[in-house]
Amino acid sequence: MDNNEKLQKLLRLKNYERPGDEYFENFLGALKQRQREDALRQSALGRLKERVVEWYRDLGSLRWAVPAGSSAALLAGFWAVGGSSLTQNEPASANLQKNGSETRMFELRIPRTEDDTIKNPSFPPQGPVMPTNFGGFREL
Amino acid sequence: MNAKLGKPDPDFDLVCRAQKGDTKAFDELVVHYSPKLYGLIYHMTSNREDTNDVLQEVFAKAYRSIRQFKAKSTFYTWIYSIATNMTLNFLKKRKRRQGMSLDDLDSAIANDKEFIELTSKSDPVKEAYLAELQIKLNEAMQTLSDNHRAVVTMFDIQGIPHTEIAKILGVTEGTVRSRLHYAHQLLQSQLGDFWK
Repeated sequence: MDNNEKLQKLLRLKNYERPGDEYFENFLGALKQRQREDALRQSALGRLKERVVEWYRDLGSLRWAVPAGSSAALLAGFWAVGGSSLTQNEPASANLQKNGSETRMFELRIPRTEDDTIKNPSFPPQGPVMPTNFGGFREL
Repeated sequence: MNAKLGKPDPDFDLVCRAQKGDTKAFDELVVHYSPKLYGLIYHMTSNREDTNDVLQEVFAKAYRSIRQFKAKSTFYTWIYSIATNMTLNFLKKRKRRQGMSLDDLDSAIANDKEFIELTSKSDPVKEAYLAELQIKLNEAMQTLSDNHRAVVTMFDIQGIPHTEIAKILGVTEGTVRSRLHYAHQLLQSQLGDFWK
């Protein structure tokens, strides 16, 4: 028997170094007692925190994805809430102004009085007219 | 359900029941695994009180995490991984105890046929020899690093095969063999006088 075999045989004997059956019979009771005590000591918040930490630890290689995903979800949430509240609360003109678009409103003046005719001698048109694209008439 | 190995997990039914909240099923798992895990932790910590504390923590953690067990490995590998990691973490935190008292030999070892056969050839004063052997071996074990002691405990003392140890520790089989080879060399040099 070489030294390595002797060593292995010696080490195998260490397996006998264990407490008697009584210890293992009592172990389960002691474990439950300890769990009860721990449960009483810990607040609900503490237990939640512990579970979250354990869940996070058990994620392994996916652990990095949690902060990234949370940030993305948070950003998306802000965008969705911010965007929807803007469209709900602000008038359409505000959006248009923010976008830089401007719509000019022109007052359509139709001569109703005699003075208007004098001020604008071409109205009503004297000669032949043709319709324009804008719904009016143009003198030819 | 089959684990990745393709071998059926003998604890599958108990684990399923425990995952559904059956505390008696979990109790059965505790009763079944506590002697084995006790051996693992004890031979790594060399202290009975510490062993008791760590063992309780291991099962408490297993109880809290049992729903996260996805049967990718056997329950045996899973709980051994928890126990090994928790013990290694514990050892990191614990200061090396100066003049740590080594536990006495269990009476069973003195009556072991194999043990008597091995020791009677070397020394007629059996009792003294047994005590000396125990102390020397424990001292030699303490000179190993935590990782090397873990491998020796699992392979030499508990008889777990290389492949299983590799899964438990999350290292390659080659790493397990290499650690074992190095640890054996170191132990042999420590026990040099004993062989003569």
